Amino acid sequence: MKLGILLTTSPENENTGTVIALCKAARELGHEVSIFLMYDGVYNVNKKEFVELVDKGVSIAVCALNLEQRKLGRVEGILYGSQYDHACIASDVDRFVSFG
Amino acid sequence: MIMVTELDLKGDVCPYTFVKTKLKLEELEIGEELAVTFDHAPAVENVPRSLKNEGHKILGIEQMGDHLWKVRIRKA
Repeated sequence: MKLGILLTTSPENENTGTVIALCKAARELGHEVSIFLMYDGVYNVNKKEFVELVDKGVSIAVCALNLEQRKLGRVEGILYGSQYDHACIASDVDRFVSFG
Repeated sequence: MIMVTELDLKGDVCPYTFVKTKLKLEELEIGEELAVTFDHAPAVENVPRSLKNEGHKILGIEQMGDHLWKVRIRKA
């Protein structure tokens, strides 16, 4: 199964821990996972445990505009994307879950 | 002779940069060229990548000045 996740809250919110746990469980079961970060969700690129999901095979894209607005830099392995990428994820997956 | 249409998107940011480019491309015939001017840096990377994904051809990206770029696209 392909799972898509939208995360719009910063790492202080409990959503981050939920998303990390969900992604790890999904990957262990062999599911494909794609995440799109926007609004304060882009702050998750500063959380080591979150970025490590890339090493587990999770595809992460971030809204470049929201990243730039918050003066955050790029992180290797994360796509510096746009709402087009968000739309592609939503269109491509079997299930899409939004955490906001 | 290939017709070139100009689109000025200075002042626009994502997602309008992609949406307005896509809408303008829909007005063109296949094979026609669109030249879009951006002053929003993320758009210069994202819009061409998204358009390539849609099957269009990126003919070139030229930096015209500080925070000013022109992207040339051939409609597929």
